[in-house]
Amino acid sequence: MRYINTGEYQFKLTHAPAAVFTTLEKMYGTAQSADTEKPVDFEISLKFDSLIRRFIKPQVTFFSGDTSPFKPLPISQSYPVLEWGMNWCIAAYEFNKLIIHAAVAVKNQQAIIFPATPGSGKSTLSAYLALSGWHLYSDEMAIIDPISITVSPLLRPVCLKNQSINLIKAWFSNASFSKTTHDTQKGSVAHLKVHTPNSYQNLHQANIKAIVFPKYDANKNILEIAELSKLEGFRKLSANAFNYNILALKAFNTVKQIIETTSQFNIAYNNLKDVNDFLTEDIIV
Amino acid sequence: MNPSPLLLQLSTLLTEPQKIVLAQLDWQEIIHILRECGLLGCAFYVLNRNQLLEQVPTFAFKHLHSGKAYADRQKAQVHFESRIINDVLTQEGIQPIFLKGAGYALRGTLNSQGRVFSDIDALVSKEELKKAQQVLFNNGWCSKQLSEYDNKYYIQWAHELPPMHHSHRGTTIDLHHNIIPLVSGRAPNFSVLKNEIQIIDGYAVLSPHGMFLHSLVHLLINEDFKNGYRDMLDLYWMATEFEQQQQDFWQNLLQLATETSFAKELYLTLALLNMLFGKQFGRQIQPQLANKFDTKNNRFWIKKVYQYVLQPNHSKIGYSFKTYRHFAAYIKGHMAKMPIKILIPHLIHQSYVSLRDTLFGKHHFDKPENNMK
Repeated sequence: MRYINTGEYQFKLTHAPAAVFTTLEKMYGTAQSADTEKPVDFEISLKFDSLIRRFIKPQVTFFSGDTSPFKPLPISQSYPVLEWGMNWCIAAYEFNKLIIHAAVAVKNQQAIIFPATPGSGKSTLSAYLALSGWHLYSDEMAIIDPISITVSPLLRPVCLKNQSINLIKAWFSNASFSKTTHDTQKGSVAHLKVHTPNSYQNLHQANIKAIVFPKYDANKNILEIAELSKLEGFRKLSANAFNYNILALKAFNTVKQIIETTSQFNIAYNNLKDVNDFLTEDIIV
Repeated sequence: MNPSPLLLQLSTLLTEPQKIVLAQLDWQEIIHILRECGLLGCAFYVLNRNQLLEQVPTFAFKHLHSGKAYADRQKAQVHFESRIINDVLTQEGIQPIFLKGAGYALRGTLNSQGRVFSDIDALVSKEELKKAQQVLFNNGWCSKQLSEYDNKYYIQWAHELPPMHHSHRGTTIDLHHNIIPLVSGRAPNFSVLKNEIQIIDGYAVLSPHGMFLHSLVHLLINEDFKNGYRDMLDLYWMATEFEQQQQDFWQNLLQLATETSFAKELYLTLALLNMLFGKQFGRQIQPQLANKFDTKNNRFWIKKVYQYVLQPNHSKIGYSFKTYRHFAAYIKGHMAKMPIKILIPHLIHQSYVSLRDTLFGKHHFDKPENNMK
């Protein structure tokens, strides 16, 4: 058993294969006593599927309480399944905040939101920025308060896939990674530590400065930037808000306020340094 | 029974919250159970009705409010769907009667506040059934492909059609032609149901005592007690609300229950409400019911089976012989619904499916997702 304090949400992991606890120690650090006093939002576990499956090709199932949202997966995928399960808990039960499928990077207390579909290079971009002086609030979901229109930090590792694992390892040799898991539904995945409990302590809810829709394109020589119309910005941002349908009017008003107070861009890039320069020089003040 | 302290806290919170104060750790356990039983929104509104929300700790409030937001959205969707279903069917001369959750929402009952719904239930006469189905097909609903076995079950024995899903909105409607399966031999005459209709804002719903009776019949003549606790809460809050609104509520209820031969089920329900929530409803009809139904057999079912299987279906709420008690209720529910010569082959089929899934993991035999017609 251990607590996983992600800041906004407190998890308690009751059962899991031993290797998962080792990886958690590496990604989240040792659970502090302050963490254990915090009330638990989600009680989660990874359990063996059936008696036979415990011995032949063992599989694990993720549980949030008594609920298992995913099909059982091979035991080798335990750690990614745990991280995805934690994402599921937030996505399935959080209806106080607007949640956007997006990475969030913050500098000088100003947040940039990167909504994107899988394959757009969002997590590579997240990892790069997190290791280049930005605070990464999330690589997967922007948690937005509908009243203050601010985004909350999550203490979570970044999930990297396929070639980007080796790229980030090559660029940042000191980076702390989990073991790579092969043959998941997303291909090979590895998690990258980007926070310590201490560094996380200094992060606060941040105002949103811009919405940037990234697209990695190997054929581009230069960074292409196109500012979006408000209408297009609204359409693209709301399409990535996965509890939009539940929050309904509140979601509409939240997205409207974000669009009115930020600028929105499409960018197509080949070089992450160009992206960093653009964000740092032209967007953050 | 000696209810577990956790169950006692949960039940008090959901019925008489002014009577307890919960510590932070208690809240944590309660929130986890409420969330998985789909009762966060209900708890929010019960506390709200008692002006107690301000005293709830931040941690608990956050989750209760999230559940409330979800339930509010569902309620809006139920109103939206009901309006479309009502419009398309009344245009063709069919007045659907909205049952269960949709009925509660359209009547605006206390138990509908914060309640979550899985589908919309509507009742039409058997003569109108085919036409009603066709009208819904023409308006974007479609049926999921069923196994041959399931299909036969629905058509020959049931009281409803296979669920229909809306192709764009993904919402589900269950079209009924009676309130319990015909094969049980206990399905009431449709004209009796028709007499219990009230029109509220253009929607046909059952009268208060009709609604209460349908709710308890649906709960007890049934083999699946997954939402049994939620259903008992429905009954608790309907009884509380209706007895205040209508002086002759209990007499009307007894009369309808007697007329439709569900008086025994009414007796069981009142006994069970008392056991689960410590409140004796309908004292004025109690002697008449007890006189006839306070038998050794009924006491056995109440004390050994029902009072347990109607507890929240959650691993944190444990009691001895959980599996056996649920199995007994499962068999009894089926027996009430089907004659024995149909029941046994049905159970053999179902228990094979269950054994297969326990051994190999239930997802191995799933059909591909895209099997809409």
